[in-house]
Amino acid sequence: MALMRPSLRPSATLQTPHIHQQVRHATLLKRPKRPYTFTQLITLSDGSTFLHRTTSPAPIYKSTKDTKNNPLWNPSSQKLLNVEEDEAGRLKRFRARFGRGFDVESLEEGEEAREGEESVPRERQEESLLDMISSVGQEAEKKGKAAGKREEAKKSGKGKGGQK
Amino acid sequence: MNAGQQSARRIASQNALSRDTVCISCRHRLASHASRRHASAATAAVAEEPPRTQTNPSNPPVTATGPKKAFQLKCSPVLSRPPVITRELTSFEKAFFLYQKRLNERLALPFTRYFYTKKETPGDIEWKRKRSLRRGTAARDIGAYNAYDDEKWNDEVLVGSKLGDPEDITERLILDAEGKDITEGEPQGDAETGGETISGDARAGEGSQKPVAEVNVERPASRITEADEQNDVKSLNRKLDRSLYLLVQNKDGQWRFPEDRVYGRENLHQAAERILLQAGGINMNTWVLANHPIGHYVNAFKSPILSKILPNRLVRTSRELEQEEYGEKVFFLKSRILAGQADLSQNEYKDKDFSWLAKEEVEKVVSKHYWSQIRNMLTER
Amino acid sequence: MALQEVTSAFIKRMQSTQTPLKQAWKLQCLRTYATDPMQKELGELEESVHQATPTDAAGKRLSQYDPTQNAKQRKEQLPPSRYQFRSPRFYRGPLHPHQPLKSSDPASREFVPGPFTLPRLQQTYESTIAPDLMTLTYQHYPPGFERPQKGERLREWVGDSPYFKNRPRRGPRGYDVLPLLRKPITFRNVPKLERVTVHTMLKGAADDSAYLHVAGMVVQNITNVRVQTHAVRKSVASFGLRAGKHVSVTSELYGENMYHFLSKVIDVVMPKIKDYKGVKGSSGDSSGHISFGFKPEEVALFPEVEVNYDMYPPKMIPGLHVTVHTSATTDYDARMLLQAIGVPFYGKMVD
Repeated sequence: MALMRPSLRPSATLQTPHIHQQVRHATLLKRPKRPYTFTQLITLSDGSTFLHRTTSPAPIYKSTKDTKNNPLWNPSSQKLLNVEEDEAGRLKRFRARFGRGFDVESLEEGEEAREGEESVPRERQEESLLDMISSVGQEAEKKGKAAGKREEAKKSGKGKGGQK
Repeated sequence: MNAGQQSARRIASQNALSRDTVCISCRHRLASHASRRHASAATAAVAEEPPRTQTNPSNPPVTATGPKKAFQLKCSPVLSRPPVITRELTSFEKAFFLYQKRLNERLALPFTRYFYTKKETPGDIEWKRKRSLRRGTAARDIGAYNAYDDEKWNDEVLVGSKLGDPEDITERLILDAEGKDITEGEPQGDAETGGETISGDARAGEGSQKPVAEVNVERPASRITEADEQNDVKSLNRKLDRSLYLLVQNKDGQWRFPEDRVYGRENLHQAAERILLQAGGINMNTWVLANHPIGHYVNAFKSPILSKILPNRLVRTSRELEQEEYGEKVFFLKSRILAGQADLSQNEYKDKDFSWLAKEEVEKVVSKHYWSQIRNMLTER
Repeated sequence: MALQEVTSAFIKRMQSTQTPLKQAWKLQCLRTYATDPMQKELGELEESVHQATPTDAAGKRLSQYDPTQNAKQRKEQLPPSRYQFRSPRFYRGPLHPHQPLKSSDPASREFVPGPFTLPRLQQTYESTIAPDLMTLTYQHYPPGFERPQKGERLREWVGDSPYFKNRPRRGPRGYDVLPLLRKPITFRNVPKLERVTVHTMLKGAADDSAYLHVAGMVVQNITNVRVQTHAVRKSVASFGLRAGKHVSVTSELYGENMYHFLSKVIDVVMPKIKDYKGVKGSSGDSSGHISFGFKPEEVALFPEVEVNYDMYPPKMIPGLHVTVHTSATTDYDARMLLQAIGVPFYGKMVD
């Protein structure tokens, strides 16, 4: 089973006619052209590895996103569902600037505080929100473009999975 | 209308197929089939009935008084963990793959280097250096072998060479990624390195180059786990390249797949799920594949047993029942464990022990009769 | 890995046992598993027979044995053999005295080496997926049950006309083609992967052949198979197609290449696609072939394209159609096979 018979190959097999007769022409038997292939080691994100044949000369391919850490392939994994996509680092930069107040707000909107996330008491939430709004306003006054900021703040809520 | 057709119809209309001989779904199918006027099948089925009842001549008609006489009807989920890793290649497969790769060296189109690295860039220089250590071969997994030089005829490896082992290939790839010489580990004068001259060249070549940056690539985990070394039969991390089956030691000390009677009106699939719950605890994520069994086991008792069956608390339709039992019929349902581990602390069948065993280990612990009837439903790997 | 081990072990077993050849063959073909202590011991035993137990002289001889050195030290080179058969370049018909070799012969011009590995997906299929699929799709019939014979699906020509005699029968009412029948699945016909076709049609190729070249390189690199180009058969003015122009590229994958390609697509490429939902549930031609596609920006996620992305003109990377041909005769079975392999499906499943 391992050693598959080469019958399933796309080679130009000779069709020997049943009626044997002399032919005057000659058919060129072409050498099949195949690209050079290497053996490559693929390392998935959970550390599992496998070898495969590829045209790429890189000896190792290390994947960061694959079936082991994608929620589509792991629908029951709560851990993966909570991971927010922030590949460009925009959420991180936003938080460094404006704090995490908006995360809580979006959580409350969606009303699905998942387990493993800290829940902030209600009064403190409002406090932090007020802080946030005032600070945003101040900053906007300084720079004179408040509208753009607010929109960004709305977009990057945690419950919305960090859309770009 | 011929006689066979008539009899089939009569059987279907009177529901005369006795409960002990044909299963419910079959009876249903036969009945519906007969009513559709395809009589041939039904008659064939009826014709097959007598031998079945003859095997158990002591089975009296249902109308008899006293306790019901029957077989123990049992369901047994065959819970298995599929192989997690690829299997070890046989030595022939390794040799064959290496041979084919070396043949391919001269038959495939040459590697187009400049499609990947521009000329005279550091990457290109590094590639040339590494390739010269492999005698000009682009591939890293066939040893130092060039299909186009004067020694191309020397394409066989010597006794005891590890070349072509998947582990060896992995190691070479990682070494190459780390910027090290992949033919370094081979002994001097070995055929693969093409003798001392080549090794010497390689050394000299390496010496003249600047030392490569230290890159450490993580090695893949071993195929043999801790549980393998300790032969921990309770662990699911043992024998990663095999299917493991859950066997339990019942209160009589026999090793079997977990099993229980089928109660009330539950079907085999429901029974299998219930048994897994009652035997292995709730800490198992299991999947019973289908509604139908993959095998069965029949065992006739030496003398009939009068047994009183108490209703099962998880099956609402089960009633208290007394019957005289002549043997047991066990139906096996295929199921897979997806996560978790068996736990006998909540076991309701007073099972003493459990273990996860590969096929040939199952043979060692179960009885001969049991093995003869289960062996063909267990997969080879 | 040296094959000598095998042969010597084989000979040893043959000598030690008086059992018939079949038994010895069976012993030889027992698979070894890495995690099998019994086999491990046996393997070590054999190793020791080869390396440790022979006298020092033999071990020394083995370590000093070097075919290339021997060949160099030989005073006279071995004479070339008198006659070397060379497979002819041309096939000149069956009566020609100089016949080409079969394509399975390594000396043949058409020889294709391989397989080079035992793909992971193939092993999973054989050990896990195939038995599970058989259990899942099994249909129980009572003993003695005969499936009702379906009537002839092609229609006879009924009438007095003498031309109806021996005339090929007509197709069914309402269909152009006969849909495939689904036979009950047994161990002989468990659905399996047969081949994969990767196809791309390039609009710009009619004007600029560079599209064709780039697409050819992309498809060849991700599939390991040389591509085939296809010409337009009929001109369609509204699409800007002229007959005879080459506008599309396909490659057909079988066996090892197919398994490696599919496992790469499923394990590496599909999860990397942003907001990937899966393959549409309505995909399929209702005879067990399921197709899905990749957009140009998704094709760039293939490791083979990623490794030298700069080398491709960025606007010219094509989108792809991938068709998975399975031996299943219905889309339902084919989809079950693909789901078992790991392809996600979404939306309404249409069979």
